[in-house]
Amino acid sequence: METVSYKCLNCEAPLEYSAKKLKFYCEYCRSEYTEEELKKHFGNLDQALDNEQPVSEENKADDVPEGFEDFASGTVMYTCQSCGAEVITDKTTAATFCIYCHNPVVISNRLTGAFKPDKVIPFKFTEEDAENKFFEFCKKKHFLPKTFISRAELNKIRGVYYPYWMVDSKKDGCLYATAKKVRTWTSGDTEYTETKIFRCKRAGMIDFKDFPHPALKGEHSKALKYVNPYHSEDFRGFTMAYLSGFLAEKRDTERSDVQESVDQELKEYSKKIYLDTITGYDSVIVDSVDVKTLDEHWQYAMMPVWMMNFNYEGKDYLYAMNGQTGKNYGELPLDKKKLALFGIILFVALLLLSILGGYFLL
Amino acid sequence: MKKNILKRSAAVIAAALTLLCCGISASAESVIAADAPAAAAAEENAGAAFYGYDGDYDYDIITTANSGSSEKEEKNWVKIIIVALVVSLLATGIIIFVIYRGYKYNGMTEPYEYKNKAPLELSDREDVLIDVHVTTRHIEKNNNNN
Repeated sequence: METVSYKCLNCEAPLEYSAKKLKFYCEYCRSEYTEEELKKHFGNLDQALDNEQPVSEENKADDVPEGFEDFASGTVMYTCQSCGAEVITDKTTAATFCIYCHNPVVISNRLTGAFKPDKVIPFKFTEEDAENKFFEFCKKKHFLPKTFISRAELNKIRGVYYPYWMVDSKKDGCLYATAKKVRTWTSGDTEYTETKIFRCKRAGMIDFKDFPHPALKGEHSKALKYVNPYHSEDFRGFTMAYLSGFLAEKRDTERSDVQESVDQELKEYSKKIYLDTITGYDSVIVDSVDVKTLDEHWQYAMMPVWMMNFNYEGKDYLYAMNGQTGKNYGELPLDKKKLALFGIILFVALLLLSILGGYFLL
Repeated sequence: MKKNILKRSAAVIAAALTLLCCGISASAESVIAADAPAAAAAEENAGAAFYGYDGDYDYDIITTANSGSSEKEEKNWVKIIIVALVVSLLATGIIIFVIYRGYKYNGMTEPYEYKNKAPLELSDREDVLIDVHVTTRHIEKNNNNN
């Protein structure tokens, strides 16, 4: 088992997960299937993922499965089961389409053993929703270049399942802080200022649930961080069928690579959580924070993102939308001339207002 | 949410700066207004003198009083314009910077909902008073009637 194409049980056409219907849907005969129905037919495919050997860096020869050809370093070519065309994929691609017949393909070899995701959040926004959201997002931006929206290649928006580490971590820690309370009063012609200094200590356990960390290096990692948060209630046990009709990436980062970064981030969050309990003071300065891990559980999850790369006047931009909640993240081009004109008008208006303000206030 | 807070903060800062500027302008205007009766009185006295004494001499007095007042007025106007310029420039700069950041780092908000997903079970909570000090400041009364 190297690649898997989910076919309609009725007409054998490619089957895709529909974010609109929240079911698996055949575009040709309009048949709909639930996850349970598909599991009855394809369930054995998912079970097989547990048994197969994971693809590892040490065992690179295994990275090129039967039916695939090693094309270049890290890229692999496979033959489409539907039309026979040869398709090239990156080394982290776990689901894709045949560029000729658009047949959705899941590269199951990349999802085996330790690389089998524990859970997945299916797409809740369709491609149309994502495009509409993008247009709405652009409409609110008054300093976008006029030609931008027409030039943005919206047909390049694509649904991608990205790999994340989801960390459940139980921390025990302690925070020491110095807090100040200031009181001022006047008596006669003297102003008194009383400053009370407190030593605050907060200790206790924090139970972090589903802390996300992107499991993919490279240019997208920042976007993957800021499309968060996802809502945990939509997590489902992983089934390859959810990837059908979308792109998917395999993780290229192991737990050991990101452990330090996760620890650091959780320490910062612990600090914020303890600080939130120190209230009623005028200022609080943290003296020290100490956090120990009591228990930690890491899971590998696939999260839905609508992703678009576009180029405007020679510069590459990235737009990402959370496929579950619709949250946007991305850098947008700015019409600097428009902004400069706005700045000048604003400046003149403020200047006039402030000069004339005196007359009206008097 | 963070983005909205930034935008709102920028708007509030800009509004505050504008109001501050208006206030400064107003106070500067009030200085001019406060000076006006004194100037008028000087003019009146000088006028009275003009009718009672030698024309050339009194005329000189009147001219001196008027030029002093207009110089003050000019100085105040210069002050108002300088303050208004600085404040408007600052407010415009803040707003432009916030807009620029909004395009550059769009949607950069808290990626983890720690308030919902990370409950805290406090086992120790201490707030110990370690020091109190009082400072005093003599308030100077303004005895200047002007």
